Amino acid sequence: MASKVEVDELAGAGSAGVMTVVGEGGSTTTSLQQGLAKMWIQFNGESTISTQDSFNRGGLTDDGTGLYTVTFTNNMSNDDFAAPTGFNAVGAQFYAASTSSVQLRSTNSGGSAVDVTIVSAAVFGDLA
Amino acid sequence: MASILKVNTFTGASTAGSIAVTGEGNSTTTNLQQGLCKHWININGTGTIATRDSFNNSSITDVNTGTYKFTFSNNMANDDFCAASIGKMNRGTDNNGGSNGVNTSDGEDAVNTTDFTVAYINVASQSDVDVGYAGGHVRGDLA
Repeated sequence: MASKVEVDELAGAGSAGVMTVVGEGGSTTTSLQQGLAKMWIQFNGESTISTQDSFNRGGLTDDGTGLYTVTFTNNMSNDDFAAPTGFNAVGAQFYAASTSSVQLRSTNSGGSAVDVTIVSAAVFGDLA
Repeated sequence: MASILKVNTFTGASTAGSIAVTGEGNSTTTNLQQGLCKHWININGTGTIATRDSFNNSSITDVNTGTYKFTFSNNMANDDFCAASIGKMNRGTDNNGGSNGVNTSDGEDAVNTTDFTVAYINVASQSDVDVGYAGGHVRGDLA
């Protein structure tokens, strides 16, 4: 039994996009693909917005005060994905979604849109 | 072709830290290492704060009311990672909903290669508040 496998690409044998991994308890399996974040980003949302680091980010748009759109390099299969967020703002909103992008909104304690210095978001769902 | 592969460690053949995985649509690939959560934690942030469960977390710090620092066991390569917070307030007459986020307002650096800090406020009173469920999760590059 190999304890270490060196490989560049993994694909399911039955269906390329379906692989399972035995969970920590040793009794059930979880999905490898479904557990992976399909996009993540951290960017500075003040002044001229700029991406600090990212994965599967095609573009970043300043849509107005506190409103940003992140487009994907490889699109999602639907707009039903989850997008957890973390801003240095009171409100960190997953505002809108499409197969090619996610829109994020930051607000202050009064609910008004505000630009912030740290905007983080990730996407979980099905790749196209 | 094996349908079950038993192995303890995966490493990239060309680049140790990079392995492609075919996506759900069978047409594109995503990256295994970039997709994996590098840290997560769930703590009780009231009273003497305590970790319920965690991954890649070495310690927690009660910075002040409603503000918690999580220190990694294995550090990140930079401070540009994606950090998201989770939280829940216990509803009561004094609580009218809560909000949480990656924090810098208390003089702490919100994200570092060694740790990140989250904070929670009571939306109604606009004041910092300890919460029963606090935590977060991180995606980015391991050192």
